[in-house]
Amino acid sequence: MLEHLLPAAQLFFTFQNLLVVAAGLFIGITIGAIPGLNVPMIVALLLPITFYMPPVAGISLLLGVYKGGTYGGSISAILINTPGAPAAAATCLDGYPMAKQGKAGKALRASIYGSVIGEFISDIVLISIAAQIAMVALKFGPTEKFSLVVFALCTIGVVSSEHKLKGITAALFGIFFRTIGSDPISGSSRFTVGIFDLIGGIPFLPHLIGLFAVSEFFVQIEKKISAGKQDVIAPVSKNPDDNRVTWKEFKANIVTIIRSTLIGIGVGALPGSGSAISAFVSYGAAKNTSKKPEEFGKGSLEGVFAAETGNNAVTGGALIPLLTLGIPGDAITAIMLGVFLVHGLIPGPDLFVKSGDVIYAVFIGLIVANILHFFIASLGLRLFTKLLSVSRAVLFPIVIIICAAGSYTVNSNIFDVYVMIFFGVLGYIMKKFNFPVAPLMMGYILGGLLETSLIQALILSDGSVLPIFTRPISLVFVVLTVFFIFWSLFMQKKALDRRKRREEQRRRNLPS
Amino acid sequence: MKRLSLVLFVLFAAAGFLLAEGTVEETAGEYPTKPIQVIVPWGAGGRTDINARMFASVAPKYLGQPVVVVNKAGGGSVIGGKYVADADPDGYTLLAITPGTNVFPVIFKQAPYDTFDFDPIGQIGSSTMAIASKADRPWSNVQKLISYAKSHPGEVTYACVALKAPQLGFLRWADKAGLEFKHVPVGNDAEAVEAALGGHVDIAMTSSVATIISHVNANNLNALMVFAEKRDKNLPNTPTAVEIGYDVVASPFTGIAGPKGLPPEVLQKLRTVFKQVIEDADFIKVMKRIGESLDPKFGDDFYAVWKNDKEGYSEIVEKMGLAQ
Repeated sequence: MLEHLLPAAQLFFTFQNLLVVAAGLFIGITIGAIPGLNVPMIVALLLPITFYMPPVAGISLLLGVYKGGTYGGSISAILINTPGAPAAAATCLDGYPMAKQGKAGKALRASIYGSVIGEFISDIVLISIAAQIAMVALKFGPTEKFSLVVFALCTIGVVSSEHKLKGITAALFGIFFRTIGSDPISGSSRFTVGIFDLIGGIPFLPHLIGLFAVSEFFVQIEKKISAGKQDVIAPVSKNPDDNRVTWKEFKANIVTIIRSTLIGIGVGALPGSGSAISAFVSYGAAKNTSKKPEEFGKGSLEGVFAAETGNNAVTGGALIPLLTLGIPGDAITAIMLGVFLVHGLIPGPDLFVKSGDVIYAVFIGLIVANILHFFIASLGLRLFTKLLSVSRAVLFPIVIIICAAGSYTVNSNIFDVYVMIFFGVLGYIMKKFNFPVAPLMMGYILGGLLETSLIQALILSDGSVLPIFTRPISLVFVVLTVFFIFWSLFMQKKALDRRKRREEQRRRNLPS
Repeated sequence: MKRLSLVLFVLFAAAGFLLAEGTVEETAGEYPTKPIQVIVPWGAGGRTDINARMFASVAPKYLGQPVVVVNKAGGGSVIGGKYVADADPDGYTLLAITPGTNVFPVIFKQAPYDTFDFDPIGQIGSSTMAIASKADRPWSNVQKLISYAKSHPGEVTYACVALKAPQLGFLRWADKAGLEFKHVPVGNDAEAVEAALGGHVDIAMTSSVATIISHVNANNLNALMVFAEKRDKNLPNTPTAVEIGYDVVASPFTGIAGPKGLPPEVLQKLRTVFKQVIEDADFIKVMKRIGESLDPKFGDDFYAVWKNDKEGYSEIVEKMGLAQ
């Protein structure tokens, strides 16, 4: 490693590379923050440009976009309750309530700190023990992946707090929506109801944009036209402590940050998952171990830290299988694989031997990007909080136009815009009847992996479900799932008892 | 943020006007008089996409008009394929074509077009399909695999994408060798390699050796056999199926095609430009760097490839009853 460091530093520290990393972060944060524009799309647009850049510059540009984009979604999630990227869906749950209390500044700062720390640790892990982690990740076969997905799905019960049954219903609908399209094995069409465009399944981004952004648009319209229903949003608090994360608060959240980082690295290192899953699992784990679980969903700082650290820690983790095995973990790393190949860098075991200088230069780029990320995001903060004072009558129509354009451009297909509108209406109806929308998205994301891993596991075991309980890693997740369910039921009961006791006390106090 | 949104909005509006202007038909002048679209029926960053983008970046030099790559993914490339099959055959909408798009209507009866609903312009390259096993398996070469599989019918597992070139190629070979394997469907080549490396399946069947070379060099995987006409230069010790006595040659192609019925002068122009691009020094240099083996075929020779592939695949699809 050391013999590569000096040439790598020479390779990376050029004015052009620094500029490119900063530009990548800026583009990523901006695109990530705008609902409707998505990061994989921008990475795809930038792809041809990177072909003509030196390898270190090209890869650094995309890494900047990747990091910035994973973070950027939290800005709109906190300020207008609309995640700019799937990774930020969990951030809405507590970020927006915080903004309503006038603590937008605090939530945004927590998002920056969480993201940067999560990224930094995961990059260090990537640089130091990537090969070892990749070996562990390879141990996850279909059976293990299936159990892991089941575990991730059960966090939904926690995420959907008071409406557990409704949350589970939404998640099941999400899994159902994922089954639409071609069957993963036989290729036959399922539930396409004769619509040709559905052969490819429900496109993910229009689905997501509709569910979160368009439905919020309808909610805002309703609030605008029916008097007395307007969201009471406290103006940005004058109290400086509401606009920053105090050292005391930070210290109280260190455990959450570390836990979410580890979850993020683990989820990232497993191909086929992604930052949205990591954010939700981190959020669920934080809530289940929190001293104040009742605050989750009502503006808990811990919730914002968990979600934002969890999603950005994925960025380092996802590079582990990409660099060591040549296996991309998500949509963005899949595109990055193309960039590596174009520059003659073939990811895999001998990458570090053959192209050590370039790879270590990229590693230096990752760390530099972390530092720049902190400064660029902090600079943007002042601008972003101004967004709160912009009239929603102006803001949301703009957002909706960008959403429609964004849905269209992914596959240049007008059908995708209809999908967006359909899910917008569905999301609105769900919100009206207190069905949480996030579990639907989680069900949709996890549904694919759930189905294929189960099919693969059953093929390999000749139809026996036994390996799910006998293979050690799989068993660990089964036990964790059971524990998680009972623990959250226990916590719920405890909260109920506490509320009852308080009421009783109040009643006893009344006569006196 | 607000300012940015406004700027973006204005940009979109401006783009709208520009596009609107672009649709005004120009009858005067020689083809091409406006930008040409190349539809990639897969997502960005994949092999077909990169080939198409490389082509698009060199072609304007000879066409005199920009070439724009548009991704229309979904439905295993059928959606993009239909779009081009239905497009006006005016030479302004072309397709980055692979067997997945035009040969596989053999399986998918619901595919709304036929293999020959396209006019072939040229083949850019073809990839080498290969099978590989983890080094700890009881076979280190294909002969040993065959004798092992003979004594353990239906036990040896192979992972590959279902009902596409990899599985059909594998089945053609297994059928000729009289062997029975267990198929584990995966989403792409990388997942097949991952499953083999993790020891969860016995064999990974990939549509391109690019995914295994690094692991073979590190002695984690043994490359057992390739399905190409000749050995791959990166795997000089791995025999072809033909060498060991099975007449199976299947190399998924990438190329450029247009909707059927292109006017002769347009087709002529496109084929000429295609040849110029393929022989362009810059193009060759970049394709070499990304490890893409150029295998140019022009016009009717490309058409013959489609025909061959279709016959080869139809045979196995009918025999195994795989048609949908």
